[in-house]
Amino acid sequence: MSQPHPLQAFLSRIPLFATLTSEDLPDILRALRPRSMREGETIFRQDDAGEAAYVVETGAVEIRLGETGELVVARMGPGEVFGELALIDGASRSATAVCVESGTLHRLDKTEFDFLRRNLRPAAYKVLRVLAVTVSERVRETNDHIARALAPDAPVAGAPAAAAAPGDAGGVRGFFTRLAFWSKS
Amino acid sequence: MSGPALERLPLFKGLGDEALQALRGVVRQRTCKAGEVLFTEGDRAREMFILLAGNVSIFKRLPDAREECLATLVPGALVGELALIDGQPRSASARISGGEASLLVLARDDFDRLFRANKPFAFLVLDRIVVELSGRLRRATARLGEAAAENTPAARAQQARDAAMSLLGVDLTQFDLGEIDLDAIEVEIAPLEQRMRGRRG
Repeated sequence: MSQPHPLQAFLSRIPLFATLTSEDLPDILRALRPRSMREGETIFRQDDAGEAAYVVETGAVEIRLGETGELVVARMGPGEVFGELALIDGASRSATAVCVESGTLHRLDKTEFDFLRRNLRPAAYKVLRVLAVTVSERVRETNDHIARALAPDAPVAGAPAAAAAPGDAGGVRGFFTRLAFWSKS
Repeated sequence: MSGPALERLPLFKGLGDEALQALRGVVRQRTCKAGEVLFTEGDRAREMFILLAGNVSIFKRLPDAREECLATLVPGALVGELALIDGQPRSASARISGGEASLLVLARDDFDRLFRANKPFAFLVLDRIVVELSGRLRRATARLGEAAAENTPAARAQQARDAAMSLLGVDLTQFDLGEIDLDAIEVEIAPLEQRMRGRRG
C-alpha cells in the first residue's frame, strides 16, 4: 500500500490542481520540480520565453512591470501560482517575477506539461481547463474595457473616484493599472 | 472530397476517427434566418456555435446605452465559445446578418459530460479553443495598451475597435476554407431519425 505523496495535500488546496484525482497526481508530480529561491533573485524577466509555471510553497515573489520593475502588480505567497498562462502556448512573459522572501518554489515545466498534453492525459487537460477559465475571465474584462473606451464620456457605475483624475480622459491611468494586474500570469 | 466534411473545419482538423465519431454524436446543425437573434448579452450561455455559411454580427452594449457592432464573423468562425469554458452570461449579442446562415451547435452540457468522461475529443477541442483565445487576448491587450497611449478620444476609440476585432479573432487573415459542404455535414452528423424529420429551421 503506497503512502500519499508528501505534496498531495499541498496541491489539493491549490485551485489550479483542485480537480485532479489521486490517479491524476502522478502525472503532475512528474512535471513538478522543487527549487529553492533566494531573496532578490529574479525568477523570470518580462519578454523571456514562457517555460514553466511556478507554485510557491514557502517564501514570496513579487510580480513587477516596467523597465526598472517599478510597478509592483502582485505579491504571491504560499499556495499561490504564477506564470501559469505560459503553459497554454509558451507566450513570452508579460511581467518580471522577483523573490522578495527566500523559500521554495515548485516549477511545473512546460515541456513536461506538453508531453502529458500530447498523450491526452486527463491531468493536463484538467489543469488546462482551469487556465481556460482565467483566460475567459480576462476576455470578458477586456470586452468591458473595449466598451468603456468606445463610450468614454459615459459614467462608469461603481468606479472609484481615483480612477479618472482630472485631465485623465477615459481613466487612462486606471486602465493601465488594471492592464498591469492582468499581467501577473 | 476527401475525408469527412466535419474534419475540414479548422477546429476539428486532424482530430482522428474516434474523436470525430464522438463529435458526430453530439453536434447539431441549425439553419437561421436573416436577422435572427442567436443570443443576447446577459443570456445564460448553453451552446457554442461554428458558422458554416452566412454571417453573424457581434454587438456590445456600451456604458452610454448605445449598442455597437464590434465585428461580423464569416464561415469557419467560432461564436459564443466562452460558453464551453465558463458558462457565464453572454458578454455580447450575436445576430444573423445578411442572408440565411447555417451553424453547427455544440451544447455545453454535452461538452461537459464528454470532458468529465475524459474523452479525447473534448480535450482536443478545449485545447484548441484555449490556445486561440490566449492569442486573441494578447493581441487585444496590446491594442488596448496602444489605445491608452493615444491623445484623442477618436484615436482611442479606433484602437479599441481594433482591439475588439482582435478579441473576436477577425484581425487575422481568414484561412481558406475551400467549400464547406453543408449537406455532407448534415448527413454526417444527423442520426437517421433526424434526417427523416428533415432539416430543423
